[in-house]
Amino acid sequence: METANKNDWMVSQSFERSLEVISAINRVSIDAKLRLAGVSRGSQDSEVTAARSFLQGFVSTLSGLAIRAQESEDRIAFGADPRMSSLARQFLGGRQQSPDVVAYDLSELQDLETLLKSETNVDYSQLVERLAHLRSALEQHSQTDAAIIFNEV
Amino acid sequence: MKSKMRDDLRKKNEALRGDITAIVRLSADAKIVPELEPYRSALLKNCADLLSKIEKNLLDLSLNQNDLLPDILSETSTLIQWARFFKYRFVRPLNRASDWDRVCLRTISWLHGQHSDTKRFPAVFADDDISISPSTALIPFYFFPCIEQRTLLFQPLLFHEFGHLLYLCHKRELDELVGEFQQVVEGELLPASQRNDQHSLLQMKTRQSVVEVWYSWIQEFFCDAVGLVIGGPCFLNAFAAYMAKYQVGDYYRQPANLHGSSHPLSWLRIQRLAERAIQRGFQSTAARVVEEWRGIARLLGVVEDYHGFYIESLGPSLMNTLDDMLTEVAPRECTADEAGSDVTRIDPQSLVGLLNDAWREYHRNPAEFLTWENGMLKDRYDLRAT
Repeated sequence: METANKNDWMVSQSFERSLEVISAINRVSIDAKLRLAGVSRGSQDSEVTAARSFLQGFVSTLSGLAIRAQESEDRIAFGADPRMSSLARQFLGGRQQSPDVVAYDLSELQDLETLLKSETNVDYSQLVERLAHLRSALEQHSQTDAAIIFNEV
Repeated sequence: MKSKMRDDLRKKNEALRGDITAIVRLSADAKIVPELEPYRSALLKNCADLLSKIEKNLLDLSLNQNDLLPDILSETSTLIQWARFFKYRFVRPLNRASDWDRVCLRTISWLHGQHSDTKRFPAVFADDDISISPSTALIPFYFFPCIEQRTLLFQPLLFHEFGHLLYLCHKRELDELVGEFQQVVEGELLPASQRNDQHSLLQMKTRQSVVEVWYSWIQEFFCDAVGLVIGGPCFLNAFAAYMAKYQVGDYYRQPANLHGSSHPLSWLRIQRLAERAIQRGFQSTAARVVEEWRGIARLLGVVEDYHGFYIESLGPSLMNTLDDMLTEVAPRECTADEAGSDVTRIDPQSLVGLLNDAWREYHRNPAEFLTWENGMLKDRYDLRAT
């Protein structure tokens, strides 16, 4: 009950969340690429819609946190768990950005949110690009949790 | 090159399919107590979801679209991690099931059944120090030490862990309340710097760290409060007894060990819990616990110092925020009869009544407690101590 470890509630929540979001990105990205290539997959629309809606909710939460952190003098996203706060700050760049962190601008995140909300005339090329970039940031972020969850042999 | 990659990914996904199929077979064949059946069904459903994702990967690979390879690689990576996670966490309770599991399983199952948000979750736990992985997308998974699993005295600690699950079910509303409290912390604990230099940056990092630590700390205080609401005195008794390690670390930590910490100091939790217990009319339990902890602190020669992570003026805001959080979540409350000493008034089916009774018996006559407990385990759980 006292120290963070592989069973810690925050680590396991962050780990599960990252995998779910990355999986949703993959689903939406594959769908967008198939549309660009003119390949029809038929019966998977409802899954793509669900993944897109889940992703839209995540991106909206994340950009909201990043904005709140930006507005706070100490760059704190009040009411967010430290793992999400740290991810949100990654989108602010500037004074806290470390050179080994995937650079991702808040405006890109907001663009992605708009793209995910669009129901017609979606720019699939841009969507694919933005999704790949977000996935890189998330995969990097999730390494911290994975290092706790999984033992090295 | 791309075709080799596609072939490697196909083989990896086929191997994953083999792994998940093996999990399904092991889980389906396991001999378990009936209380674990809902968990087995939930796990098999989750395995079916993973298998479906693997089939999608194989289908996507069969389209021979090179552009898809980075996505399929990433998806394969998430599936590898899920499979590994399932193997080491989710199969264990089925594979090593025992009749004694029913003590914890019935506590967890009762807890889940008391709240409309948690009714749908099956009960499950595994051996480890007490904690929970409070998932709502998968299965909330509890951990409990192997010896304490076989006694009634420490069952109330599961009430605290259940608090984490309730938090997750009400995350949006509770995060807002926590955010408001964090702003109070920021204002109370550390003055904003007026300088624009390295010192100012350091101060900002410190404020950030203290305020962010409180996100976890307040959730622990909240779960302590949930435990007390559900269990009454038995929770305070179990918590105080389990947490006491008779070491300075129960009362004091160096600043470096407070930054990034997941839990508040145990002594701070005991004090806040005792205050709340007094409010709920459990004065004698609160007084005994605090006196025991104070006595140990005196022997250890501990000086109270939270290094700016907690000051007394935060107390009322903390208490108010926790009250608001409890109102939002509304856990099932221990009744006066369950908490009281008149055993004739306790519903014989009441788990909370039994657990409070256990602590009363323990305090009344520790030497005879095991005999009393063995009788209860036999009558209520059909378990015989060896």
